[in-house]
Amino acid sequence: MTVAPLPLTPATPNSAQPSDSSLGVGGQRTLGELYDQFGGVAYSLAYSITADRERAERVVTLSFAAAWNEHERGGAAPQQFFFSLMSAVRANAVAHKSADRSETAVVRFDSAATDANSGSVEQAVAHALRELPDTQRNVLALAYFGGLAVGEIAAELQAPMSYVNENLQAAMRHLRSVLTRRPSSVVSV
Amino acid sequence: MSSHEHWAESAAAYAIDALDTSERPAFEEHLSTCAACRADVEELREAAAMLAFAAPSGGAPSAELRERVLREARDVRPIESARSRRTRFTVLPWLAAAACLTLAVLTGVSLLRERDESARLALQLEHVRTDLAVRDSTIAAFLGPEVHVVSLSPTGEKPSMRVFWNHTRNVFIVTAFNVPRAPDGKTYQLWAIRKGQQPLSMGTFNTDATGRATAILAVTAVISDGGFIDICGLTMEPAGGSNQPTETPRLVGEWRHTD
Repeated sequence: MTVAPLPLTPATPNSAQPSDSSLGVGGQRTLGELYDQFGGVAYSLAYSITADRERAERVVTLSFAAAWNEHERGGAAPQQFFFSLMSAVRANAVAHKSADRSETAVVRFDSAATDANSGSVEQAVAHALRELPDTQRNVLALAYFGGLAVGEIAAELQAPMSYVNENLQAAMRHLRSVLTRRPSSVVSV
Repeated sequence: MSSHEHWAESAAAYAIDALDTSERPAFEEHLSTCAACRADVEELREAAAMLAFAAPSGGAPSAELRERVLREARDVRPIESARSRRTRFTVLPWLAAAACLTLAVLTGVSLLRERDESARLALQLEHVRTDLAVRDSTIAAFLGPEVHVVSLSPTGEKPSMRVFWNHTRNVFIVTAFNVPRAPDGKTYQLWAIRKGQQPLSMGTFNTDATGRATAILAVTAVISDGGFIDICGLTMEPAGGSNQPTETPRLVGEWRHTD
């Protein structure tokens, strides 16, 4: 399956759409506009990992500050801000998560693959995940939502590290082939 | 198997931050010399970011979150910001205030005389007010009654960073001198280290082209609830920061009381 340029739609019903004049890739946006567009998905990711609303909001706050500062206060293209933001959200959320979160990660990753709305970027990601063999999807979920390193996943699955590494690599490369295109069509924002 | 082929197999794990800590330094050493692997990691990171859309909805965040995000991002402020270039953070507070006040007055006069530039000047005035408020906030944080400070330096050299922990305001104030700007795709990350425990991230920042920075970082609950910090360390990490340091700290220092 190939995916057309993916719209990053606001994830919360009350999110405001940026004006057309601020939509161009490479154009600058205010932090408020970036929050309106990415705040919902950032919060959902943080909550999925931390399972705690207060921690999730703290993670979102810290991560927006880090990404905003990283890109010199709005100087980067929106999709670059998005990549930095989600990297920060995931890292901060893993640092704040409860000790037992890795045990439920696979279940929630699987359920996410069935919840997507038709035509959305969530559906495209869900479809890409469904195409993965179970092993690859499980390893990916343990790494992404569980925050486990390759060695920890190997211990969890009682499998060699090379087995984990190969499955993780295959999963990531499949997602890349389906979800990203060069040069700037990863997300259409 | 060549060195490149060996490390290429680790690119996915690195991109999703799952490469074991013991392997990260060697992989990053390889990244510094291999453009193909750098491009590979970059693309894989973009794919990893898209996985955020696989997270089930956590419901709507609180209505206050938006304002909190805007306020805290505003407070984490690199010194190279265009609006703060006119003065250095070392300028005495009253001089800074006087300069801003003078500029504000001049701006007001200009508004009367130059109606065509009213919008631009109003924006300039707002920027000055914002700068002054941020500077006042920073100065107040420095002078708070409960402040701990740590000076960071390479072994045997003069300090090139100071970090103030204001317990009342629950913020770290970071000042850096002669710390080369982290390149694109990298950032500086501060670590709070308690003896016998894993380092905790204090936040990320970058310096300007002259190697200077001033930033205010919010203190996370996991740090503030953990008691006194023994050591503070600075590492260079991938953009967005890391869960744990991926290199030996470039600068280190021990906390001490100022009061």
